[in-house]
Amino acid sequence: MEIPLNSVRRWLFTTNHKDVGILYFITSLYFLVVGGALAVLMRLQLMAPGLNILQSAPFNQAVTVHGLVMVLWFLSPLAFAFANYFVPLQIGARDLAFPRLNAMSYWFYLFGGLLAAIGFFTPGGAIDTGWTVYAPLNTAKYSPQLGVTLGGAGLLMLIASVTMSTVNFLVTIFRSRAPGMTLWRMPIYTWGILLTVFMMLFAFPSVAAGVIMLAADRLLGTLYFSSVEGGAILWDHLFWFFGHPEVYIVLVPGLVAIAEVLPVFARKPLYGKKILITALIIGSIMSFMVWAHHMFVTGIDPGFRKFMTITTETISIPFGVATLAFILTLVGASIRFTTPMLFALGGVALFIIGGITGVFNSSVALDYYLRGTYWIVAHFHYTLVGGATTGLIAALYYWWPKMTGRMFNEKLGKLHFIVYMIGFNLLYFPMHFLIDMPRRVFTYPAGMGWELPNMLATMGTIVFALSWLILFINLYQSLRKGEPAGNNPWGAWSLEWLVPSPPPRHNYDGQPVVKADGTITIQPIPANGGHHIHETHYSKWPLFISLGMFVTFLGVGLGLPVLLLGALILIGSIVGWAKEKFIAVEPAEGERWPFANVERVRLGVWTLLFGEVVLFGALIGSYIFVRINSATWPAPGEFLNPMEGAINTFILVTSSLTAILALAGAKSGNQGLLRGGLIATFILGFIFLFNKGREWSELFSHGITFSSGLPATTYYITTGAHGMHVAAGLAVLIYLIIHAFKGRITKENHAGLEGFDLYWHFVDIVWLFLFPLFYLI
Amino acid sequence: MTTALSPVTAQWQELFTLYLTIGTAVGSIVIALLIYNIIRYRHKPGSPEPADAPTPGKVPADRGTIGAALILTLIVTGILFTITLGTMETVDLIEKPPEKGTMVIKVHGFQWGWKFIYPNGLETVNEVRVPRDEVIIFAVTSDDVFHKFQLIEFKIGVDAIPGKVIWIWIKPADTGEYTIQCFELCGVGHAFMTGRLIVMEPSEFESWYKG
Repeated sequence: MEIPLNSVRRWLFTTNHKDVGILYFITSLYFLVVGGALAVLMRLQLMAPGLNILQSAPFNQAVTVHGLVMVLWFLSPLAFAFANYFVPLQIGARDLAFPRLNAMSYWFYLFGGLLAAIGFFTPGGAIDTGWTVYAPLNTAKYSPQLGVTLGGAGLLMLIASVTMSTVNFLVTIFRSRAPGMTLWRMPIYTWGILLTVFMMLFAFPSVAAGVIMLAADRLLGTLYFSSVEGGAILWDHLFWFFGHPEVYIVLVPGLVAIAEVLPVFARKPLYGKKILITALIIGSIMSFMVWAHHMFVTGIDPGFRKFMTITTETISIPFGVATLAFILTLVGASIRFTTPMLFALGGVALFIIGGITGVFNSSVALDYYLRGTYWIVAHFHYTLVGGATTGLIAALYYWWPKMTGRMFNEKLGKLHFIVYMIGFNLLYFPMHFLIDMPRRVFTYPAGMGWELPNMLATMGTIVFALSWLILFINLYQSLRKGEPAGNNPWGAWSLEWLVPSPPPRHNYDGQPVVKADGTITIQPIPANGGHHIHETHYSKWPLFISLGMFVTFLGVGLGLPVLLLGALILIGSIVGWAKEKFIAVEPAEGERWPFANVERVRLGVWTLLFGEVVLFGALIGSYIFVRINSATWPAPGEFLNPMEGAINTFILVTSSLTAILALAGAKSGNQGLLRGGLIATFILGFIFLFNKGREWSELFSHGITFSSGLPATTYYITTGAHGMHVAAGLAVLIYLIIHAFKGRITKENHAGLEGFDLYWHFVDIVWLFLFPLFYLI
Repeated sequence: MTTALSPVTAQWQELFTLYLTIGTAVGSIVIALLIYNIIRYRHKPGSPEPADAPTPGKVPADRGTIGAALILTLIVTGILFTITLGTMETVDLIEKPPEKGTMVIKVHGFQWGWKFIYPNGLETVNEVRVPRDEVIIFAVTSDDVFHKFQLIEFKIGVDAIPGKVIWIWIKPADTGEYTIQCFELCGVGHAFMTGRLIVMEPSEFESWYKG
């Protein structure tokens, strides 16, 4: 499919990483405007005591959607706009490893945001539980409105988007680096994105499990969050195991954006690049060991809490080291005060303040009082707006000439910086003095001493909003009449600056190579190296699959016909995707440590399965959690038949063996073994599901439903999630069987089957945990 | 500092002041260092490029040493260690009410208000009366959703969670009226989920409590 570059279809069907990057860029700024408008409304309401601009219910919706949109639909996606555009360029690749998957990530992200925001137009309004969606306020009993369900659906689509991105970026960074582009030599922004996707891989499945359980509670009547055995604390664990790494997922790209920009305009190399990377690796790992600091005053175990206090205070060490590395970069420099540099320096200053107030919150003693106050609001806006957003604005100005081929107006840029800094500090600094005022109240009484800081903050909001307007005017003018940028207006070293602005669709007319002394050259691909590469750059299926998913989720609210229509679009476009011939070329050679021998698809499946481990870990962990908290629990065999479970276990394990046989057949070129093995695997998998279905219907006929207590709730949802995985495996099997009978799975070409085998074994292993947990203990 | 309302309040304020002092000092030094470097190393017309300035098409050489990293880490760690000790001490005080013979008042958060149940079965809503100079334990829970029971002037609060009871204590030093407010978003009535804590002279309290 070839499409003219100036058509609308190009943007709908593109799979090119730079086009997708621009889509992310525009969409994230759109969500910034949405979230920002909500913030302006809230601040107007809070300007003085007792105002009536935004009443309680709409205020709660505004505060919730503002939080969700800013963190998940603006900040991270803006970072990933740059990641999409520049990670392949910076490592010398032609595109991401899975371009179609990348396009689908984008569409899932967009439609997910629309699902969450569409709630404003439903009766009862948008989700209004706070961005943390605390239990049991999130259950149908206390928040029956459709908006909350839609918010959950939007979150699920976003989580799917993030998971696809994670797989894509990890495989790309590990498999598509140019020869000589070792890990240590990678530009710091790419490093930051690598760490960010690692954190995403482990963090998001936890909240995915939480949202799935919440959806089950709301739609099927299960009892995870309405029971006291699960309830508030279970949600807290699931949410914050995601939520705290998420803070670093948002922060790290902003910090590495600063680290990318500082050396260019300081005209000195980054101080201690390896130290900085090591610090960020330690910080990323530790980000999974601090989540309970959001639960210090929920009465959790004091020993566990002490551990979390120490880890929380310790995590400020790597980020403190990072900050000092930024400052030391300036020593001996010759600083050029361009707009991107001003924002990078401003970002460091604001992050220092946010980092220091964060240390206060790590203290359990102080947290007894600070939790839920405006002090916290001040703290995280200094880190996530002051640090992360300011850093990303530096990146925006830095890379804009590369993305558009045009310079922006430096004077307007500097004006933007001044107004931004004044507005920001006027907005957020006074909030430190609102240490006695609760968060998320739509109004407050006079006479508490809260009037002046609130008034200042609202004035700051107006100034801050204006500063963004200056940015947008500057960008618009630059597009219309900006000076041509040339290849490298800033004198930067990294690869993206060696090619024209904007870069050609395939990035490099040749193969970039980094020599031992660090010199980067672009070597022409030898003429005798065979044919010219013809990659595919368009596919309509990512958009249609995402649309199908969107309509299906809408159907949850609008009724069965819509749901069926969505399912139809979804299935049709998945088939279309599977049948489409799409060529994404992996470079013939390059730096692939440590995954030189792990083929692209296999590495992708491995990555995905790591996420799945966390998903099932969260589901099984929740089961154990509610079981430990329950006073009574049915004895083994009381409502599930261990014998039936054992038979099903045997069937599923056998299907793993037949899957191995099928792969052996493919590897040895034995087509009979391949086909027979695949069909046997399908039949066994099908019998497993059939037995499961029989078990369910039998339980239902005995009156044991989703809401018949926690044993039933956990059994249905955990094994149900597993069953869905088996069903998905069967769908892939149909595809593989068709391919096998067409003779397309061969000795040389069986990567897809290999990926399936890994997945199938994983699904079996999960069952080996579920069987004893539910049937025997 | 004026005399504190309650031992925990005093300790909290001392600890906060400690954090604030160290935080302000560290923040000022670091930001001063940043600004100093920015001014000292600004580009001046005619000044030459640093020898190791980034060159297009060349991976920059490494800069900085492991020794420097160690020093940086030690500085940050040392500061953190000091304040951690302070925090552990205060937690112990918050969580260990001093003596027996204290009054335990059950607190039930609900959408949208606070119910108080005294040892003698007396129930009040959105207003709780306690005697001065006595140790009062609040056993906090919730009847519906997640709330946070906060005594603003006393600088203490705790989550109110269905199915859980969490204790905090005060020993009010002064009579008067103080503010109770919910500090966790709990629905449309959240902003108005307030109450009053009234500290009375012990004798007045006795007659109120018995009457």
